[in-house]
Amino acid sequence: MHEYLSMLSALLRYNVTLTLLAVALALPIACAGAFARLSRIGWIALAMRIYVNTLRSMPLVMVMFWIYMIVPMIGGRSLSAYWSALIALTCFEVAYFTEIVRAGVQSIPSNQYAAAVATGLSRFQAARYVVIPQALRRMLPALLTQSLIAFQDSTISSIIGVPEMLQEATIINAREQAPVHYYALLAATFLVLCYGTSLLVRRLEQRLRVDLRPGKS
Amino acid sequence: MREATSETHSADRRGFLSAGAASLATLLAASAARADTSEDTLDRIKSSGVFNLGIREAAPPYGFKDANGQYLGFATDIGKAIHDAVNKELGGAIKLNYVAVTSQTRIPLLQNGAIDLEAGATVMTIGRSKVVDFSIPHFVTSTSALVLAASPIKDVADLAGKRIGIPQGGLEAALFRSANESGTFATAVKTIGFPDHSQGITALQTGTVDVYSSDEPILYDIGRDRSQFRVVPMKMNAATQTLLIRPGSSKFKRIADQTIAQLCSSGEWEKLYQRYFGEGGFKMPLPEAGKFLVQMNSWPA
Amino acid sequence: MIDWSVLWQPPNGRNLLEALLLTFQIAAISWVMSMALGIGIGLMRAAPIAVLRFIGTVYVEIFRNIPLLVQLFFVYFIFPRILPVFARQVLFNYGWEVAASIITLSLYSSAKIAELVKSGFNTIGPGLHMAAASSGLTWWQSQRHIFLNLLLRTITPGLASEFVTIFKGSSLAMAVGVAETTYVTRQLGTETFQWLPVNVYASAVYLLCAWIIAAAMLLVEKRIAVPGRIGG
Repeated sequence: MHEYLSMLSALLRYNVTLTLLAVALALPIACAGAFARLSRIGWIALAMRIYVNTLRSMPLVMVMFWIYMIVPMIGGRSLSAYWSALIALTCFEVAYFTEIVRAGVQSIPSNQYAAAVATGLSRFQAARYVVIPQALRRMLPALLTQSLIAFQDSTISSIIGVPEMLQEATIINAREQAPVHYYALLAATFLVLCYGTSLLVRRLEQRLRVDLRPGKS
Repeated sequence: MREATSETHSADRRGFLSAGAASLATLLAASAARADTSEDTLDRIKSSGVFNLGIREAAPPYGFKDANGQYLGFATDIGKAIHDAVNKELGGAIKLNYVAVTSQTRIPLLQNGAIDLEAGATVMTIGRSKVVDFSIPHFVTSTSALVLAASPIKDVADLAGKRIGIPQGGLEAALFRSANESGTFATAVKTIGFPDHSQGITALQTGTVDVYSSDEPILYDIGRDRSQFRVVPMKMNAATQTLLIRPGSSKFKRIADQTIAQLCSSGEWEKLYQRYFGEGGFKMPLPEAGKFLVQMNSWPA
Repeated sequence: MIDWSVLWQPPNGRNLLEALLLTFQIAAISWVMSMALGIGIGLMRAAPIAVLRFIGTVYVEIFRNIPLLVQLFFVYFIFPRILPVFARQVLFNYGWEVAASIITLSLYSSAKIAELVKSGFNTIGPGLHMAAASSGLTWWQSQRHIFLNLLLRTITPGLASEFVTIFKGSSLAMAVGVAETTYVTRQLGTETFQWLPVNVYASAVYLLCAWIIAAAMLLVEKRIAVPGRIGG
């Protein structure tokens, strides 16, 4: 029991914080990225398209290796495994979130935007106060699902040495002469957390859909 | 939805982007500028007043961070001793700056000047000698094998035909490959590389591999639970460790070498060993090669 | 300085090619197996028998919610312990590392494909079900002759994107010592310190494959798109 608690604490300290930080950082960047993707300026839209397509085609392990190696070369100081994993996960999720935000924004009829600008709001204000809030409601389920995937992907950081949950399970086994049932506990924990959250997301999806009947906003 | 782009908006964007490009260029230029290292490291330290010590922060007991965030470790302490010697040589007032490095970044950071000395667990290899200079060796280890306590494997000969887990990217792969080729084992061994020690230990515990092989101190550290694990010394090789120095720094190298020799002859080295590896650490007995190293480094006056 | 020739100097060139071949093999075999499994489970999910539906749901939720790496560790480390000792030795002698990776990838992706199949079912519409039933076909007959064909054509884009996911997932096999592309490039980087060339090579491999699969899918989609429905 005590060991399970220490495994849970490793989960909280590493996997959960990695996911939360990466999502919190990636979301605003992705909003900007989505607008870049839709921009009229050809090369910005192209650059964003290249970024999104590249990051979505590469395995997360490769992105982590890239960050682990590239940042010290440019910045001149070494990056710890945790920060490499965090930056890599953030860059990775930015690509996915950008697509979700873009789809959400594109699903808002364009007359919303035009109407907002017509009432005197600047383009930025129109985006921020009219378009994005509506789009966010539509993309919330997809964003949550993607965040769940990011949570699962955080275990990959064990490959570059982050002492997270997977590694903690091993350390416990090495200390306690326990059979490997801690891996089963780990799997069960993920199952409960992810399945539970996905059920909540499905419920949320249904609630959100109900509100979008014609005649309502 | 398509953005209607106005002059001001795109001008903002252009300004922002060119600022970003300029800072990236400056960053790259700065890191390139630091690579001008044709001068002796000692002169560089003298003129800058700072001694950048490259240490490991996640490789106990060679280098690690303790609970208070202090940098400790066998190699880290030797690096500190060298800073003291440099300080004395240059008349005091040289600041010590710790820079964390990893096995991937130690050589690039030394080459571009971010660190002046690497004090970690770097093994002397011919490949490395082509790009950096070595101090006299400060430590020597060898590759050993870790088995479960109940395993029938007692010495090197028992390894024949077994499955051996090794860390990816280390010397063990080449070691076992050449051992197989030269017929050291009655039946060839099979090696499986894992990205991290934790996977290798899991493999050992679940019986997926019969043996996990790595640096001896690491095995003693991981296998601290003596009721579960046992270390089988293999004595197949010696990995001599050294501190890394930029080429063309004979004055600095002299100070580093003298410091290491001083530590060995004064008995300080043994104290450090006991603190990190021996009684104060995970109770690894001082190997024969280690005793020889201390003797060889104890130069008469 | 940066030296690109490490990529083709012997024996590096050969190692990289062998690793590439291994990556392809793992991805291809996993895709075939996960398709077979996934379609089966997906049919179970849509079956008229409640027990089958339940089993299908349990299967899908287990393999979707547990991270791929954790599943891999389970299969690779823990599964052999269930077997008797001699069976274990057989596994180990015949490349258990690769086999475990393929099995894991297949199980993981089959759950995703089962979901695709189920949503494909819903897209095709209950009207078709009823029409088939009313023309006298049993459930199984209507599956074989009408639905599967239509279904596969509807979910082709999803299948293609799942193939890309499998391809990316093959990189996780390095965690259990499989000498596929990611493993070998990391090894090469450690030996030669030429991190930029090796990372660029590995990234190029994955990018090229993703693009080729996407391009192939576009071609295939044009030919088999179901008229009247958006191709995917």
